[in-house]
Amino acid sequence: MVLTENLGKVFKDKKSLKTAVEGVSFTARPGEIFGLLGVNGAGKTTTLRMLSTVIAPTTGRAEVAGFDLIRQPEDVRRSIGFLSNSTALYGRLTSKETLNYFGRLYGLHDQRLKQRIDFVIETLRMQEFLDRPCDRLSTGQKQRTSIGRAILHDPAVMFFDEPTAGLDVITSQTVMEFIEGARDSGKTIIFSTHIMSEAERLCNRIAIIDDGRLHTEGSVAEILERTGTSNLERAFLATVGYRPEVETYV
Amino acid sequence: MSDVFRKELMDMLRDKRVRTAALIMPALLIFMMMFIFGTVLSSVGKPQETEIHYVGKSSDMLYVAIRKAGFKVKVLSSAENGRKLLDAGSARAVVAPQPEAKGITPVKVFFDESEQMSVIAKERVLAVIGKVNDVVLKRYLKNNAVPEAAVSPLRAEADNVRANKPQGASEILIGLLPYLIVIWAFFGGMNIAGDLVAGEKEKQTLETLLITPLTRRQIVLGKLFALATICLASSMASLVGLGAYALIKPKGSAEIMANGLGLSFQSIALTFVLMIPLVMFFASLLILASSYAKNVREAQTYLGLGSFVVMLPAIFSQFIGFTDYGRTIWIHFIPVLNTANNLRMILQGKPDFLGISITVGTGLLLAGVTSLLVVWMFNREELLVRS
Repeated sequence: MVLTENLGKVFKDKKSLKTAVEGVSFTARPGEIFGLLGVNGAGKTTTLRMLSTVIAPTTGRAEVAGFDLIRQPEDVRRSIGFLSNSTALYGRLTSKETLNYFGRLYGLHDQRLKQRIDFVIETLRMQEFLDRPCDRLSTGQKQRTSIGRAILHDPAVMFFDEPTAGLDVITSQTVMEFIEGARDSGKTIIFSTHIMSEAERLCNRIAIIDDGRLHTEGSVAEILERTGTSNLERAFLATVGYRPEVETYV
Repeated sequence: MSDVFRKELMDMLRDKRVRTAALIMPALLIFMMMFIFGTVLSSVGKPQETEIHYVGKSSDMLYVAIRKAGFKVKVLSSAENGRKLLDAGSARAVVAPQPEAKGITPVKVFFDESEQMSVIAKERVLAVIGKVNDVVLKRYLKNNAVPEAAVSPLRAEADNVRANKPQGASEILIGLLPYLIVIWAFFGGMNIAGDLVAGEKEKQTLETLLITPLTRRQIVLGKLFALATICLASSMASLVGLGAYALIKPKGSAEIMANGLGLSFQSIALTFVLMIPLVMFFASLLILASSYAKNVREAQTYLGLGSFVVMLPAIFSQFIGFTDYGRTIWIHFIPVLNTANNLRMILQGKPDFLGISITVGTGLLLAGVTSLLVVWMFNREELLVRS
């Protein structure tokens, strides 16, 4: 479970303060995919960075898998898996070495580590490129290695930050199928995206986030009803108060 | 922390740049430098390699004396020809005895001050002329029953107190080796340091590490120890290069190693003891710069500037033998210089154990403070996750 209350982040610049996230509160439960839907720069990544303890919130509190974000950061990190399209792999390590390295960092050793690595290799069909350095892998193979790294320690909570951005349709499909599988196995999943179709397909509930603030939250059907629109894209635009810059076009 | 250490070390050793710049280059550099110095020394040290031009007859006493001293001598018809040869760079020294006046034969020795070899040849000819004068004087004194003491009341006898003791390395090695050992400890790590944190920020691998259960202190110390290991290996690679030089014994090595290499089990062990705090200090400085920088390029700029802090005391250490500073206590408190100075004394076969203790103590303190600074900086999210 992930629970946030009034979560906020203010970045200090040399001359000014910039509010990246303000008053974000939501709850994501085990066995569901909770979507953070917003445009680039809306505050989705900052929220996920706070929830994964990479940066500290300036206001509010959060619990991840029952652990307090501020007081138990190591326990939080032990309970999460994080996958983003922007995070890279170590080019000179092979896929197997990557799994082995991160497995040890997550406290897996000996037989347990071997079992988990074998499971991940089997699940993600990584056999063919296992001993190849990561900088010689295709995009899809890299993404499978990244997924393997993120799930190796069998985390209860998983964060996906625009995991399909820049991927081809086949690789995107693999990632989305994997996320659905993770949900079905009872994981709590936070899925950040700006792609409406992905959110509609995957998310049990969605929070629309814009300009650092959470505007609305609910299932797709609830949001459509609340905004009086027929699809998620229109609902999103209505929620963030979008006004076309050109009123008419002839 | 040990997992991060092992991974970083393996990653670095797989990097061709690291293997070349941090391990092969230091060994190759000292080998090449010794080879060049040895070649120069062996040719400068041999009279038979020096040709002297002589204006006169091959039956002249001076001609014979120069030949006996081992020089190649070529007879010229006139001093003017000799000057032309000097101008053209074809001669090193031209000896031209002048007509005798009042029992003294003036000897002109033409040379070119802009040519190092010409100056050396001139000095050697003057030494031969001095010896000829000595021989003539002794003969005169003997023939006239005058004791030598009448004209030479003082007789200098230089006595090297280390003649029957281990003499340590040659002057060239004593001047050069501490400098190379110290600077490679920094430069060996400099090429990699940018990748360790700034490079991870740039490639976006750092966040995957930050979301593991490890604390940031564990992550950065793992990286720090791995970098310090490479710094130490890079600095010790100079000794490996020197060992290879001693084994291969190229031309001129006899001159370079006339007194041996000054290396023994004790001197190598003391070198390790001295270098460990220094490499920890250097590794901390390098990681500090890398943690502060947004990307590798920015890190390289900081590291380039920082290298002057290392270079200046290291360069001074090469000339410290010309001063008495090396024997003062305060020098052991100056980072970099203290290590180089103690390495110099170890190579001379005269380790100063008090100086080594102060240097190691100072180094450990400094390494501790900079390591704490590194941990503090690595915990500052505005530096670590900025992009």
